[in-house]
Amino acid sequence: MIVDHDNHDQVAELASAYALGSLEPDDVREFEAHMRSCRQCTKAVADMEAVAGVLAHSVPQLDPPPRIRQELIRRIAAERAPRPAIAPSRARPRWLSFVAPAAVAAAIVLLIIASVIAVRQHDELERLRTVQALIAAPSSRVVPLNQDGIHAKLIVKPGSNEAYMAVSGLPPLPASRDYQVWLLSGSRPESVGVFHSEGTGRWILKASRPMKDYKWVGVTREPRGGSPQPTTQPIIASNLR
Amino acid sequence: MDRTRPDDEELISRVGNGDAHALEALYDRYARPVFSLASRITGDQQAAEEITQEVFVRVWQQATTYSRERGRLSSWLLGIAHHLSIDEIRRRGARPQSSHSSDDPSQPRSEPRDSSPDPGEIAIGQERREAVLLALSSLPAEQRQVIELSYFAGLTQAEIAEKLVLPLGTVKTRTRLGLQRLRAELLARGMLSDTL
Repeated sequence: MIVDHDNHDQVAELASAYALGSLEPDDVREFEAHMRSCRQCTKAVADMEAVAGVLAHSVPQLDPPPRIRQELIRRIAAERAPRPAIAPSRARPRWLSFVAPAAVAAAIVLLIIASVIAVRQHDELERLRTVQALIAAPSSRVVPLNQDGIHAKLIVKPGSNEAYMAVSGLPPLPASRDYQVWLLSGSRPESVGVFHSEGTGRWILKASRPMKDYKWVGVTREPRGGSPQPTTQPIIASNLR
Repeated sequence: MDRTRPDDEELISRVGNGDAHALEALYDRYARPVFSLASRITGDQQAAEEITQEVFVRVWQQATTYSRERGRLSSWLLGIAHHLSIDEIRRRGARPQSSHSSDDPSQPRSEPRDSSPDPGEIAIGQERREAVLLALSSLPAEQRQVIELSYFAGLTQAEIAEKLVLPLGTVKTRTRLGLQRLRAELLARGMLSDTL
């Protein structure tokens, strides 16, 4: 879409039609793409949307039935229900398909262990044992991650598929978002954990390969339950080599 | 208007932090205009109920994406309601509403009073409605017509041109002039600076 910004009538015509919802669907897509990089048109649309929003108040006012509010509260409560802090099955979905049968058996054992850990997520002892084992290993090292008031320490043992991350300064998340941790070895980041934490997080990360295979770690905010691949910029990240 | 209550910005920020009570407060503030708009556009009580709930579920899920730069919260929220309502009538291929926005006895009946919106909210709603109708009535009829066919009947500009047998350029011009005029009227009445 070519928008001549010196032609104020054209900008106003697009903004008006967009705000009223009467722009043709193809033009809507093009105009939205244009607005992503154009503050002038974004502002023009915001102005006109404010006017269009007022039109909504011109209709006869009706009382919504109480059941809408009750159902809304019920749906929101369902979304806010406590969820596991660790989502191991999401963290490792792909790799079962292309590893050797013996590894599959080992993987199943690992998954069972992971599930047990998930079930016993509140068992601090379990977590401490894992962390202790990581810290005690002579080969382990600590990787600091600091960015925008968020401070994290990642403990990695090169031969282990598990790592431990302690984070502080985590911004609060709405119920619809989770933090997701990624490790990178090739070109595609691998999800190693989905967490819903606020302030501080103490996370055990579970990867498909030993830590020495990875070159980068990062944490992103993702829709609840995590994403197959990152969809936002990392809030903290670091190279591992 | 009660200035001691939390403003929209504060409420949406709390919703973004997962505060369900803040969402309920926004619901009590805006469910009425949202439901009324959805009823007016779809002409269907059940669809209007579903749309109303969906609007607030989206507010809950997308609160962190709301940006003040994009306009006031009420515009954002009613914008979502408008989009969902238009989608609904386009999906059905039915556009039951005529092109006038005045009182219509065929509108869905209001149910017995919900306990949630406070009486002050309702009085404000009535005053606001009268003021908006007054501002609309100051527009030339042909400008008001294209605005109403766009906003309430969900017609695109090409469809309006076809329906009114007008050149597309004329529809575009009338839409722009009408909305600009309405904006000036609303600004003059102080209705675009206050919390509507």
